Amino acid sequence: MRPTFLQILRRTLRTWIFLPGILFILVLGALQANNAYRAIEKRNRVVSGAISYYITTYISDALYALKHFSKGIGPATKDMNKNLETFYNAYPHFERLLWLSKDKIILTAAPFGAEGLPFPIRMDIRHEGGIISKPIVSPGSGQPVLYLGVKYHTGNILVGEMDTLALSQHLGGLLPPGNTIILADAYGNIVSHPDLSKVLRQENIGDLPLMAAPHSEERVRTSFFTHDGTLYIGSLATIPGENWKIIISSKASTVFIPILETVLALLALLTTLFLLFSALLNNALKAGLVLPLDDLIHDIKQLGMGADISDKPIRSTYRELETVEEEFRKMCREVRGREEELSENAERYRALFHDNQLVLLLVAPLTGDILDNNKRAVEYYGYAQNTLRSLTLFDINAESGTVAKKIMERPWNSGAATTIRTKHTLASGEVREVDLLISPMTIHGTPRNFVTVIDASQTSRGNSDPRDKAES
Amino acid sequence: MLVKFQGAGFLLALLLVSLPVFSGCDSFSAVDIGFVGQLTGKFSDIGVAGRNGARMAIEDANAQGGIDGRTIRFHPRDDGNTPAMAAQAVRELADEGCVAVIGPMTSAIGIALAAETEVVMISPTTSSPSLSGKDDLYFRVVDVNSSRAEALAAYAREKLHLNNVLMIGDQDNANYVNTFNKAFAAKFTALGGAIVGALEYSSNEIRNWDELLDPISEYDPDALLLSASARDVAAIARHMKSKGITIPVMCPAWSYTTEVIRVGGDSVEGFIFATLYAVNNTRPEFVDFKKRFMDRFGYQPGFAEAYGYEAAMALIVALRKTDGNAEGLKEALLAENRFKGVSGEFRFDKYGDVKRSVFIASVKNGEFVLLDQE
Repeated sequence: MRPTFLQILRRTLRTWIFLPGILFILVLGALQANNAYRAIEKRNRVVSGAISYYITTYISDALYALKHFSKGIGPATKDMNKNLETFYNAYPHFERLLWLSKDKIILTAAPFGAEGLPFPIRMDIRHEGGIISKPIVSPGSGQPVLYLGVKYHTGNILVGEMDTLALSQHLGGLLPPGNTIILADAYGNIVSHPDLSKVLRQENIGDLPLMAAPHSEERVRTSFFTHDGTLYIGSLATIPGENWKIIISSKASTVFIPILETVLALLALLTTLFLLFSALLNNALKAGLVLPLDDLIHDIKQLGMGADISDKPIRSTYRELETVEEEFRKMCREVRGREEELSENAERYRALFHDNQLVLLLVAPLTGDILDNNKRAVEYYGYAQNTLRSLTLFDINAESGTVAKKIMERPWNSGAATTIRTKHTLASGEVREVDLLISPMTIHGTPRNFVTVIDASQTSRGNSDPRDKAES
Repeated sequence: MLVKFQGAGFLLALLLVSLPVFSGCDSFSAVDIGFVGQLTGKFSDIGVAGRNGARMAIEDANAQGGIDGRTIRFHPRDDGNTPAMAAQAVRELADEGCVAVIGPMTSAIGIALAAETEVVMISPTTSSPSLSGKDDLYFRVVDVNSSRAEALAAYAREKLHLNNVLMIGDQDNANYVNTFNKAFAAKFTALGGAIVGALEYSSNEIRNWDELLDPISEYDPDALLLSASARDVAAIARHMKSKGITIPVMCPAWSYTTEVIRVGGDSVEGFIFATLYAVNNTRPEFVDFKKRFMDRFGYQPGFAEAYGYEAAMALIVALRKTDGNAEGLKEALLAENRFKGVSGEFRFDKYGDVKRSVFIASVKNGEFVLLDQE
């Protein structure tokens, strides 16, 4: 079934306005998301570079301070306690400073305590000094710490205990809320985390997809990853030297939900406007076009059923349709006039032919087919109407077919009406002498013979038998 | 899952972002496993070790397809080494949908939880005899400590020829410590030795180790039996060294962690441990585990890491039989005839207990070595 005009219109609107609009908004959203991603990627590259520099400097400064201090003292310094205390107070990097003998016994500590005890960490100190432990919980304070150590030329060791919670607090304030900066060793053991309990619980993030991803040549690698069922955007950077990892991550929802909300709002707006526009257009077209067309169709149907619609008011709302309707009305009036004319012609034909008291036949001259006959012919020949129509003039002619054929052709040869006497057989088998008044004519270009049959038997009988005349 | 960024992939990313928004849930098909152990404080070495071992087993299982394709999620909780906090942690884990819990790591907590737990628990390290022979939901992958105490007593008498032993025990883990010390004393005296005294302390309360160590000289022992956590053993060792106390020190497996060497340093050289865990086990599975653990976490695993791994591994084997459901988990654990652990094969008896071999180990040049295999 063909679609309606409004269905076609709605489909066209959807295809050429609504869908391209949706596509445009989605592309706009994708571009915005891309820009947001790029901005995060760029920001994380800058921030991770700064943190890497900060950490490197933080540790190298601390090591430099340890080395510088250790050069200024001697193994037998009498005021070692005081010197260490002064250094401790002057340098904020360390939570505790320990001066060890070469067999790793604590000689002096600042703040005071633990003197005489073996140093708790097994270590293999490089000559230039360095980090001597993984992130661990301090046996002294119970806080997560890192140990840095430098070796004095006498074999003594100066150890500084760095509180990683302080580091976490420093890093935690570098980015706005919603972003997380995690510092971990090469294996994912957390050194610094904004959630301090994770540091205290010595958690490991080596299973983080960002950490577990194949090694990349990029200094900072940014990608999406899921963790505990949440999607993140994260950047991983490696600090040269210690091979520590910096992970800067943001929940993808915090980045993309605002964009998604905007896209959804635009989609909702587009959909609303489209539906509103469609409804208005639909109503306007329905009132201005569809209903008048329906009326027109109704009028046509009524006309088909013979009703007179010429005087009905015109309901079109615009000129073109009004013209169509007016033309249609005009055509209707002309049709009606012709119908009346035809009806009159038919009535006249019925009166002249069918109701005529003469026996009339309309015959095809070549075949002799009786094409039409009147009521009087039925009565005269005694055949039923259908039977008579199925006969030819040759069938009812009592003379030979050749004669009958010549009779039919004669008016056409002479070009004028002809009267011929012949004999016709009635349905009862009786043969009557008849005078045929044959008038040739052409109907729609086809030759026809209009035959008037006059019974000549009575005339002939009258002449030979006066009784017949008297009886009649 | 790692989604490498590509420009066109943003629509997918947006979809991924929006899915939780619209669905209101995440990873609906995951199987959740909890963990309770002390992750902060003095006993955190064993808790962190057990958690790391269990985490690695879960990572291994996930790499092999999880449980019928369902990812296993791991939820560690700190029990604070208090029964109340531990019970609350287990309740929270059960409420969050964890089908089972790995832990706890100390017997005192295990005894508090075992009778009450409504979820299957598999402890990597609790070995108190008080937990034995009970038909409950509490399983463990280590043998009772009394078997190790007896083996240590026999070693002390027969190999070290010790006569007088002074026992020191941390009463914050009293059940474990007292059952170990009692079994040691019974065996040691039965073999002709003598227990010259017993000193008790609380690791949560002690502030001055000298107060604990000063009375040692009054007993004049040949050796100490030191039933304490790794950090306490390390601290006591350092103070003993500073005081010049050089008698042999024997310990249960509780302190047999890398932490005792890392924190104790040179002062724990020669300390003797009775353990179920052979650090130089040559079993291929163990060698592979040690290497992979080192690559993953950056340090050598100890017994708590290994048994944490085995506890999680046994749980996953059983969960694969129950399609990740808690229903039928106990029966699945009991029905398994042979769990292929990294340190050896084992099976649970009808009470969820196991039998395992005992090793005597010591610290030599900063590493654990097995004495009965030297």
